[in-house]
Amino acid sequence: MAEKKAKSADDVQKFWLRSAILVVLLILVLSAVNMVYEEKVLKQKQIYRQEQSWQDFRIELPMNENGQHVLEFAFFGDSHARDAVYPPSIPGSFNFGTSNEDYVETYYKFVKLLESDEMEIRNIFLEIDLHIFTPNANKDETLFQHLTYYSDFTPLSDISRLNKKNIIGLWLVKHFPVLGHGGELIHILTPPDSTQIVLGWTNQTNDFSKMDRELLTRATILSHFGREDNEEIREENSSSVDLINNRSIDYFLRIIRLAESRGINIIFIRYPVSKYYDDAVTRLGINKQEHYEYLFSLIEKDAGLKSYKVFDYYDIFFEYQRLLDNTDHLNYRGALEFSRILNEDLSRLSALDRTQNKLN
Amino acid sequence: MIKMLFNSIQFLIFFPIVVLVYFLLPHRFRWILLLISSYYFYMSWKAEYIILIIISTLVDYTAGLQIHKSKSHSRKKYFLLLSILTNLGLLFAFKYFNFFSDSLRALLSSLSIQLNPMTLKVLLPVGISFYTFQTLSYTIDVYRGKIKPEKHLGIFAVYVSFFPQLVAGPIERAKNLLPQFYKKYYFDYKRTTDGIKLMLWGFFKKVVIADRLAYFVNLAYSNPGDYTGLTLLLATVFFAFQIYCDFSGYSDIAIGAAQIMGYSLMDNFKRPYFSKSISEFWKRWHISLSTWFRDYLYIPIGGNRVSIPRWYLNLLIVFVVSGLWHGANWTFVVWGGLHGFYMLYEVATQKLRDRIARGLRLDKVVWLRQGLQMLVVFILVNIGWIFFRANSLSDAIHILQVIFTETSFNFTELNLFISAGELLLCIALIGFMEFVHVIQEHRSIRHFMSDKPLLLRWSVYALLIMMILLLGVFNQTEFIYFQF
Repeated sequence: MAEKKAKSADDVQKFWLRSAILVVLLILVLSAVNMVYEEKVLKQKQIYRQEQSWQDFRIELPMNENGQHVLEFAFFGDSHARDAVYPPSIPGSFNFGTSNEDYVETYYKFVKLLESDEMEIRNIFLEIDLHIFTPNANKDETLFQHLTYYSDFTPLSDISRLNKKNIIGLWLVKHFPVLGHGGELIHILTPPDSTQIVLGWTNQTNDFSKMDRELLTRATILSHFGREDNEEIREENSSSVDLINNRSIDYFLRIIRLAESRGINIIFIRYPVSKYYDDAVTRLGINKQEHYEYLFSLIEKDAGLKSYKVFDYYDIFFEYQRLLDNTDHLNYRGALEFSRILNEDLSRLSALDRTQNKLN
Repeated sequence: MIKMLFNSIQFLIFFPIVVLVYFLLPHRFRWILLLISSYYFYMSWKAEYIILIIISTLVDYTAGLQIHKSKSHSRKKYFLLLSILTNLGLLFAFKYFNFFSDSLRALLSSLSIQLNPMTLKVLLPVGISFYTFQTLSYTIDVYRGKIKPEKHLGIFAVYVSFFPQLVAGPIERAKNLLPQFYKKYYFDYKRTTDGIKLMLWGFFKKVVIADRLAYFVNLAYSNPGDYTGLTLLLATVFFAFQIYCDFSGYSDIAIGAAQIMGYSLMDNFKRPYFSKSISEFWKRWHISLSTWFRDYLYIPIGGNRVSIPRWYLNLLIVFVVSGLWHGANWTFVVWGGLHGFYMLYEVATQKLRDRIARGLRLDKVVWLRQGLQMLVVFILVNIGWIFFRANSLSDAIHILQVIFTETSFNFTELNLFISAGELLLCIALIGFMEFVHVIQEHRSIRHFMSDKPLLLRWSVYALLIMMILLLGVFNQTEFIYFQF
């Protein structure tokens, strides 16, 4: 017994010593790999290049009497906004849209612009496309996916509360973004073709008219609404499609309140999609009019917003598949044409009233 | 409370604390720590379901004692029946009630009778199929006189709920596990590091391979109508490795975790895709369940000591029940039935196949024959996996149809949204695992490594850890077998 105890004590010592050596070695190797990853891979990702583009642009903007840079138009939303708005066509604008962006993320980004970047923003465009609040497009697991970027200006405790991930895990990923992404190191040897970014806008080059439009639309509809556009499924599951995720809508209303409190004009915008997308939405039984009536009742009652503008471009490219990158995104041709129209509408305030009643 | 998956940060904090306290505590108090930590572990899933474990524990504890004490055979039988009905009753209510109710409704509806049988709005308690089978084996063994009943309620409760193997096995026998709770274990360097290495291997299989493959498999199987034959074929083969890595990974972590504390759990997998026959496959796949069905169902209904037709029927019954054990869905029943038919075919044609092999002189080229056998078994098992993984029988039939009639090996037809780099990485990782398996087929990997220089050994361990850290998928996907 005493012998066993003594051996056990020796074993404990040996175990701790060897574990400590192994851990130190691993941390050293991991840190080195992480450093390479941050420099060569992470910073090449769209969201970081967009941020770099913003920081370069920001310092060139005119200043107000308080020494703050002034941005005339800020576009927020997901990839619909990102691909559609070409800022060089709209003077004084920047496109902040990113892929799969949830309004939770937009809120923290907006706060960062106002507080850390100390910007004066005159107008914000908020995307209200049909899928933007759906539970399926705004899942916990995809929230704050670009953790290293968001954690620079969002407390980890908030991120952990919102995406329900362990704060220790988040801390580790914040400091070692290579964790779980080691496969991307291959990009050092074979760099991917980077999408061109111009003031936040990304240059998409596909031509939807030459693609399998039905198949692509089906996949998009499934990812947006969690429901297949399929006869059999529709009969099996006739309940209405859930278009509202409470968390996203809550942060959307927070953005509105914050903008209101700062005297920023708010413009809601719906981006163009294909006719295929609209047909699929109709077949799913989504009542667009009902949805938008509900959304604007929240905006008016919960956020107390009385004065706002709505720009609706949902159907303007229904007959122009070649302007689309896929079923619900514009390609570079579409973006140039769309941004020209948008800029004209911005110049003609009467257009705002014309569009206000079109949401259905 | 947050669900404590083995591949979660919570577990990586929880487990070392339990181990540390375990070795600091005097032996006589350790069962209390194990019980509290096991209940805590289970309650992190759905706290109220702990009551089911407690019911199962109390009923089986009492039944065991009463069976042993009773003089009359009928009284022994009564308590055995009580244990069986309680455990299977829980399993039926929480796992199968809605399945049978829905099936009855569908049957009546096909006969133009409109009836809406009651359904229960309950979630499946995690691990219920595992711990009910484990405790059932205890009362049956006591009834058979193979073991004496456990008198210490606390120790018995730890046996039922021992956290490393509580939610997904291995399904341990009382004869193996219960006596271990009485042994006093000291911290042992070799045992601990062996346990950690096994856990690391399990983590590698789970987070690096299984969860990586899961992404593609889920895409293809959630919407099979959108994919080509080649894509569905690739997704099916990926699923074969996903489910193996997922489940055997869990078992390795469970066995390794128990080993660190001194406990020895049974092996659950032995490189099943190296099987040369379906019967061998079932000796290498989910061994604790296969042996459970052998001992508590197959042998009691007569095994192979009956007429040939009855033997065949026994085999079919066991496999169909095993399918149903895996899930309350007709896809699992068909999967089990299919394996039953494979077994029947295998035993019925054994002599004929041997004769053909001799005729083709394959018996002279052993490696070729064995290679062909492995390939055939792998294909048959994959056909089974299609039913196991598909969301419905119609999906499974569609996938089979597309694979067998529309597959062309033109790689431009791969429409799984998988880049060539990712595909190569998946294949390389599977290749690496199978390379280790080839070594294991001939020699224990521990022995293989133990005679290598320290620097090489440490480099291999560090490489394994780095692969887990860099290539792991860390969105905490549940282990597939938790649903059973």
